[in-house]
Amino acid sequence: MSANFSNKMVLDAASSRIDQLDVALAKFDGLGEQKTKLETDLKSAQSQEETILSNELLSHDAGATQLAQFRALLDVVKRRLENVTQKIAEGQKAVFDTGSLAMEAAFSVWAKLRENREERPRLCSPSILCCRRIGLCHFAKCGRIQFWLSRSFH
Amino acid sequence: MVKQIVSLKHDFLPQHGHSTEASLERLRTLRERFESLRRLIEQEPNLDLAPIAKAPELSVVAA
Repeated sequence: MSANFSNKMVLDAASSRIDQLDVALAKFDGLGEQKTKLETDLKSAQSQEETILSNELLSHDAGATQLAQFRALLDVVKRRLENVTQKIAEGQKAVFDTGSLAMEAAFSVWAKLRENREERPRLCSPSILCCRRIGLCHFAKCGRIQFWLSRSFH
Repeated sequence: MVKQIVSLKHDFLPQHGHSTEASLERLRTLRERFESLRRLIEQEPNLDLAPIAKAPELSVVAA
């Protein structure tokens, strides 16, 4: 398998981890929007409950009927708010879990790049090799310097 | 050569002690930072990522 092909596979795999992170983030953001809407609905329902209680023009029966409806609505909104809050906590955990995997994948790629840059001058720079007189067995790692070696050491 | 990329290390390490919001913001920009890293990787001569292809976090099969 060529290095280019395997590099692409590894980069795509890391990118796929970030895709999964983006899906988790989108879900988390959607839940946040739901929560904001439910909080607005809750405030509205609470305000209407207070309006019914203060309305002295309503008959007792009409007031009681309307109050029952809005309190039922309030219960529904409160429960949905609790549910979405729970889902947000789970969604946040999913974001950090997938984010951690994506970061690990990206970090592995970065670490290999750094390793490559650290190795390159050490193995392939004639000036460094000349100064340090590193053993010949070490040179075998880098085929491109064989010609230079034969001139410098023989 | 190495110095050019050392600072990138912090782009891909979890930052402990940051607020939840700050950590979320870092994750939101991970793709952008990774794409920059990807361009560097694609231009890097003699780099073979195959040895890390079997690591669990990068397993192509798992992805």
